[in-house]
Amino acid sequence: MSIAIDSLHFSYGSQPVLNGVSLTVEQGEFVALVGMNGCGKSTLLRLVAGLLTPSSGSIMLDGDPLRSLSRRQVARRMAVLHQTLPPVPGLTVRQLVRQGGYAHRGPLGMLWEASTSETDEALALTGVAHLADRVLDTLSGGERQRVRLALAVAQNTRVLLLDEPAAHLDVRHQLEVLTLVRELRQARDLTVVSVLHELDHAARFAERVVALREGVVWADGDPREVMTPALLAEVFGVAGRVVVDELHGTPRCLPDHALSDHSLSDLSMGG
Amino acid sequence: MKATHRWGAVRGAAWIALLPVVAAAHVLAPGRPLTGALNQRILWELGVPRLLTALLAGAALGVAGYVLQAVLRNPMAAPEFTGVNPGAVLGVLAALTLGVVPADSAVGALLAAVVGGALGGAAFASMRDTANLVVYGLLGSALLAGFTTMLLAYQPGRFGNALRWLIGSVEGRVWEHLSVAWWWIAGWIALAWLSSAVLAVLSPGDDHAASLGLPPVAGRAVALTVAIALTAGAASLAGAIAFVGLVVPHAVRRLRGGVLTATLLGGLTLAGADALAQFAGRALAGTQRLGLPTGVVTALAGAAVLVYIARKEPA
Amino acid sequence: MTHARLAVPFALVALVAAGLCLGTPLVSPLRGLSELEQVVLWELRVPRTLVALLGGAAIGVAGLLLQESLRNPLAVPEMIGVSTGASLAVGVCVVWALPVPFTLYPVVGLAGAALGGVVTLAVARTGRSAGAVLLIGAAVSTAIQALLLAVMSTADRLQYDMLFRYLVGSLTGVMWEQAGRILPWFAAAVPLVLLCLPALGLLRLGDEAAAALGARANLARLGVLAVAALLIGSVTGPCGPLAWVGFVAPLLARRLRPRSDARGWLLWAAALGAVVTLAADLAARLAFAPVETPLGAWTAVAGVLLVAWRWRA
Repeated sequence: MSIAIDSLHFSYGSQPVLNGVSLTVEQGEFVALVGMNGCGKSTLLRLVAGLLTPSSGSIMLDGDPLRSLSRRQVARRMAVLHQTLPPVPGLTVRQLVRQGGYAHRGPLGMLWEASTSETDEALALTGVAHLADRVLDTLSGGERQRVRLALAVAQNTRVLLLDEPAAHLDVRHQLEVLTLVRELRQARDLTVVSVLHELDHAARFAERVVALREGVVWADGDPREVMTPALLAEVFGVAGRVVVDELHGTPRCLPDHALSDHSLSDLSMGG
Repeated sequence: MKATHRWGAVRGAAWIALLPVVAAAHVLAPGRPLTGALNQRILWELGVPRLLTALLAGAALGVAGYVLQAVLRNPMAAPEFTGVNPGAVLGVLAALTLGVVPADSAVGALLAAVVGGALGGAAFASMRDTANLVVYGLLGSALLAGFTTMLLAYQPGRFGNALRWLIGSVEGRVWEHLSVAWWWIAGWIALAWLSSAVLAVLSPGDDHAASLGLPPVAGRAVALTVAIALTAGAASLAGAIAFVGLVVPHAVRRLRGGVLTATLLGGLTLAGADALAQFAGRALAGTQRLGLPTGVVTALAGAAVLVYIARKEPA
Repeated sequence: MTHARLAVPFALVALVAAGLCLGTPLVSPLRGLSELEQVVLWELRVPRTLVALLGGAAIGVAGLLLQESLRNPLAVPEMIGVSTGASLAVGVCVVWALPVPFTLYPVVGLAGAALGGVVTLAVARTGRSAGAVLLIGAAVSTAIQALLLAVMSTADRLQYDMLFRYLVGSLTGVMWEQAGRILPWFAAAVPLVLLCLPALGLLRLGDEAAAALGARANLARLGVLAVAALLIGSVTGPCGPLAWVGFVAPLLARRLRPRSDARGWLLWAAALGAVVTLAADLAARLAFAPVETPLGAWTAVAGVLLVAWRWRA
């Protein structure tokens, strides 16, 4: 399934966030959205998920305008993993993951079966089957993130949108979750669009990096080509070096120091 | 997983088995012998409708509280704290006092309760914060009492009658009152059950619901309508009964139950409270008075639960 | 806001004058007074206006103390069991026909208020945060209210009428005797209120920050609560609960001085509490004259209007 975004504008009140983003994501790609805090990457993700309405511009899913699709139609095509899930007292893992079937079965179809084959499959695929009857609040951060991936898997979509899936996790669980995403993508032939905070994660796990600055796409391409000291300076405001990780063949960023606001605006004029 | 199901069935059966126990306690509570034509007549004309009223109103409040807590994502979002119950009671009282509906018209009371409950609920629907919800709710109840006294300034003679609604009581309800309320409450509980999946999807959050394919605004509208209709049904029968709508949903969540569990537990709770009220009233006041209003028992229990919840709140 | 701030003292003076002059008989300051008018003015209107002035101010200040110490604009005097305690004590006396002379009912109310406050404080000691204390206060209030309703459900018509003013609050029939009973409490409360101010400044920062600065947050909060209970109890005993004044006055005070603290709001809350109470008492006396309506009903109207307005803002 492909996603075509054309000159998307969005603002929170009078504060413009996106100023004409155009981007096409092909079936099966793993795209990482990167940029500074507040550059609009999470907003872009929420717009693609249909959770926000753009001020202008269009988003097409496989040629269908997103706006013409109902919530359930959208949810059958795309699953979203938000940064956090508000606590629900007493909610068990199975109860949560089962809800992935809502878009396919509807409110009445959900009445009859306590647990479905999709639920079990999703639990197994994400390695949380042993936690199925635990209460969500009692899980560790890493376990919880796996469970939320299980929910997305149970939704049985072709597209997976992730908002910082590794946030608030320690380094081991960061790797675990991102590896799991990569495995899921291969197992299910998913298109993955993910906001990633860590540039090294983006370079290592994504095939394509899209960097946002000032509400537009500043750079877009294979991490090995896009990740340069110039990008570090322009998009993240740091002076640094980029080396090649010999084991994985991917670039690694070594930021050295933050650039002053003055030199940043110079870059902006030059860019 | 199979084992879980079997346990659920066993537990369900255990709860249903409680029903006749509570019913028997309720019937025996007034301390009247069950033999003799007059006593049996009293039982049939007063005792049984009273028991059914308690079961029905309790079930309605239990489900309404369950629905409200799920969609407002607030463990304190009980009907009495969200303005729905006070609004409904005020509606009934206003209609009765101003003579809009005849004093004992079941349909009229129900309609007035629906209007009042919807207005009250609309005023409170935006609340999220636990402590504030409770405080606003209590202010709402204080307001209710204030307006009631104003209404009663016109007709002071009705004060005792109005008090019955303010406290909440299932005393004096007869078959006629149940005729409409029965269909109303059963219908809305059925709808609540049919929307179980909507409630489940809605409770972790708007973004979650939207990503799974449920427009949150539409889902919330359905759920709030159900909650208001059920609360109004209960209020038109029994007035401002507190506590049932607060504590039953907590128990339901502990038991991992749903709408049906809330129905059963709600009915059991209120019928049990009413049996207790009858026992206590008999013990306290002898035979002279007609017994403690049910609402007093539930309100005291509710206060105890509030203190319990507050003490568990982290520092 | 400057205009509004200037308006408050003017309103206060105008309301006091109106309270003294308006009604039957109409008293004009421009001409001499008949003997009857002198009696009405001195024996009825002066003590009543004085009690409205001081009582309103006390409730306004009490509301401010509660809201600041519990860090919640919704913490109101109705929420700490004091006013309901007064109502319950009087209710028990009336309905169970206890041998208490009618003139001593204010004292009974005072005792009930104190008891309600003590119970709330005792239970509130177990709460570990401002939110928990607020919830506990609400719970105790509800429980007392339920008991009151239970007592009242056994009352007869005549008893309802006697209880009426203790349920809604009213200044009907307040004379020097009642006023004299309130005044010493106020005199005692003023230094206590001033003692609370430093604690309020700390509690406002949150319990953790207050502790870091060296205060025992829970203890300080209980102390403030006790002073508030004293203020509320001394008014509620003779007058019944002046509903919503303790909610409205601090809220308006904050609007008038948005960037101040408890120190700056104190006088404004007192003045505004007095304004609201005086205005409500005027309305209660005059709106449906010769029938007196309950003052509490009018303050409730003011409170609701304010809540509705705040919602929009």
